Amino acid sequence: MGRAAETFATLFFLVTLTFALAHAVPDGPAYAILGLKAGPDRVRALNAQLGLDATVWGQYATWWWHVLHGNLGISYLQNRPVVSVIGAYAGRTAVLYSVATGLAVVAAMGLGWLHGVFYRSWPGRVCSAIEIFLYAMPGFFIATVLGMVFSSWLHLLPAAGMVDLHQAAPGFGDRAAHMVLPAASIALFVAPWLARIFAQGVHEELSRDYVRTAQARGVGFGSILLRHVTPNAIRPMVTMLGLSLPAIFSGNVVVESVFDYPGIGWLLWRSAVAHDYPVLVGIVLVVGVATMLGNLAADLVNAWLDPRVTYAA
Amino acid sequence: MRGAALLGAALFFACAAAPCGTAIIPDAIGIGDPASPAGLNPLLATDPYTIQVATLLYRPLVWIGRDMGFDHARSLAASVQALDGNTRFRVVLKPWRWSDGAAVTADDVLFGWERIEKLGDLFGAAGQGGIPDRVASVRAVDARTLDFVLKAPVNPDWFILNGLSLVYAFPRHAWGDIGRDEMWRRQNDPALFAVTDGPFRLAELRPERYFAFVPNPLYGGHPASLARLVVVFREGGGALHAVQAGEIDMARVPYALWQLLQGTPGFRFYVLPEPFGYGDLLFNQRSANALFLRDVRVRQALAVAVDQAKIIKLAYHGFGTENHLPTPTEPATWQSPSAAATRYDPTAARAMLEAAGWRPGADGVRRKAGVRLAFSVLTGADPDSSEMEMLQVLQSDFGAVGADMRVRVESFSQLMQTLNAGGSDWDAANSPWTTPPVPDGTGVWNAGGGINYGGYSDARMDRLIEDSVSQPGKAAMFQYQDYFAGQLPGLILPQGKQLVMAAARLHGVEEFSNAAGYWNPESLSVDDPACRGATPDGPRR
Repeated sequence: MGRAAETFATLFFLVTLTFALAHAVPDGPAYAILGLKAGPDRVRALNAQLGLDATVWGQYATWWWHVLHGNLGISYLQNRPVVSVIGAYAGRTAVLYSVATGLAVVAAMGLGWLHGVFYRSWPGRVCSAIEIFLYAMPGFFIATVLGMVFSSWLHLLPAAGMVDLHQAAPGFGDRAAHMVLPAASIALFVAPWLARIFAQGVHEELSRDYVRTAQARGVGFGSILLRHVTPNAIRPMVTMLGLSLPAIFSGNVVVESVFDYPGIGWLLWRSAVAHDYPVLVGIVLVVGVATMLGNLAADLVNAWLDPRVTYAA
Repeated sequence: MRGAALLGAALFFACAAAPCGTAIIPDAIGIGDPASPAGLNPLLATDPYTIQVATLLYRPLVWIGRDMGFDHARSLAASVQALDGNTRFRVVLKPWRWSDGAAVTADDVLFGWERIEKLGDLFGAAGQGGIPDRVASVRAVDARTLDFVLKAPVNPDWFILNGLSLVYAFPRHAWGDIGRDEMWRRQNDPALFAVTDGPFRLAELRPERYFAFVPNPLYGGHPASLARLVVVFREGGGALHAVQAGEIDMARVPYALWQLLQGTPGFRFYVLPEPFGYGDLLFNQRSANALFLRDVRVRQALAVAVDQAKIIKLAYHGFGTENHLPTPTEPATWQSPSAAATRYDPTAARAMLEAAGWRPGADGVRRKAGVRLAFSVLTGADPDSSEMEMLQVLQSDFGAVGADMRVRVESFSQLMQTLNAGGSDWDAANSPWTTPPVPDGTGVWNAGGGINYGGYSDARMDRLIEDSVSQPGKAAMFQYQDYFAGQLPGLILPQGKQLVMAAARLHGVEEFSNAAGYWNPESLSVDDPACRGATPDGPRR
């Protein structure tokens, strides 16, 4: 009860704060929509059309009433229901981040094993240096460099979008090619800190008694590493991945913007710039719920990996 | 005889050839900075991008050509005739068909007119060309003829070019009795825009991403050569990057990169006209801080202090035209030849300020009765834009004659809100303006005008503006400008031309866009091996 109530209270507070902040900005969507032709009469007419002529708290109450009926409103920019807008963009982000997370986990485990096993010797130090180097790189820098090298210079991969619009019916290969650079950018950004967490776990587990016992019984090092050390060392990484689910849903605004990838991060940024309040608040709500579910998923996976772990309801 | 028969056969097969190839263009070509079209209903458009995509589907009664005049070939109207002392305009339609085969009739235009009336203040171009307020009634005379009856005589050029270019036919049989709310709600609904009379039909719509179009085989005008036209939205420099990567076929080039990119293999470079409009430094007559801006002598001194040649050189890298009148320079159809010339002369500017009682202070800034000649300019320009470079030149030029100008940056929507509030908390604002084909000052410089943000009010200016829209010919328009040149409610500034980089495979770029930002996509074709010999113009180079 305690955790559930806390989660919902946090969600309520977060959405209320976002709604209040979005409406506290002095200029409104009418000016962004109407541009230079935003004369007072037209602004008034548009605000009435969008329901923005009511008080902020009136709009807030209406918004919650609609949410309770499964309606997050209509996007001012796209004139479509917010639920379908967010659904379309979130779907693309989920695909992108699933691929990126897969790549990141594989890279992190490879690097983490090497780093953990040779923790105090030079291969471990080289791994550590690589991790710190990549971790220090801002996401936009990694994305820009990858785009410049593999798209602009080598012309190996497309730099933007999801498909080649020259083709009327783009195939799977084209879609996959468009995903390589954004996924690699995210993976390169995420993998270093996952690798460090995993390496630390591997290093600690390798010094435990059960490892010495297994070695004394003649179990091979590879088997110890894979069957005994890894399941224990991977748990903190799983927790961190669970906590990063909000990022998966909110998207990496920078990477999605650099590669013009129409995911939820791109949508968040566009909605903020254009004062598309219904979409903006809708994304906050969805990300809040995702955070809640992410924490829950991490708890469940950890409990599955280690039966000693239990959580209060 | 045999030769004529062969020529006839060749023409027949050329015209009957299937459209071919895909062109991908960003929505910023032709005018302004990148922005996403809001929808496909031209009546709801308040930005040029929506007009650009909406007019691929629907052609207005009057299409504005590259000379900013009536382009008969691309208009739905075959002819427009001013009658009864310019109080009645008879429009005869071409025998066009909707994409579903039904005839485009006068009743469809009447239906379009009724949608304008239903939209009220939501009609995006309300007020321009007297639409709808100056129109008393619209009547269908027969299936292809309509009469627009006006409440009072108007300048026929003004009504035809500014007004009738806003009136469209919509398919009554497909739209039904659609009202204001439904039109607003469905402005991105592909089902609503399935039946068109323009050169294209909608193939795919991804709001905020891209719109894909295919030719309308029943279009009554010149058929499109392209099999597919995709209009993409790319923020900031994204379009330039994408064109270099081969993902799109055309992009605007920043002035600073123009020389650097010249000669890039696989591309052609084009200098397109300036957007049809003008830049200005709008003075706020209500400013509490800069009351001196109400003094015409100060405004005149500031005007001659500005070195427009330097602005063009530094901000637009030579791609611009000096301008001192509230009418566009390219084409200069409506520029008054009799307006008093404003020439850069800092010495004269200093003398004019001296004569107005402004004496140099210890800090170099002039003073009068303890008031410093200091003001701020509000702008929504990006920090690295040409507009910001222009403001820096202004700052330097004003400083040279003893006026202290500061730049106050706000986001674009904040800027618009500040201007709309009609307050006294800003002194001047900088913004580029696009004008209608006949660039009258209605709404901008007349008292109480919808976008007269500076609150300028002058009875003679009001009368001259009204004359310019109600009297035939150009004389009244010139008189308005001549008076403006002396009054200077805003300081007119030059604009830059549009520099475009396009894939070499794309042809017809020069004819593609006009100064008003209207697109002629029928002119575009692509050099695709699969298309050789398949387009109406024959093999591509």
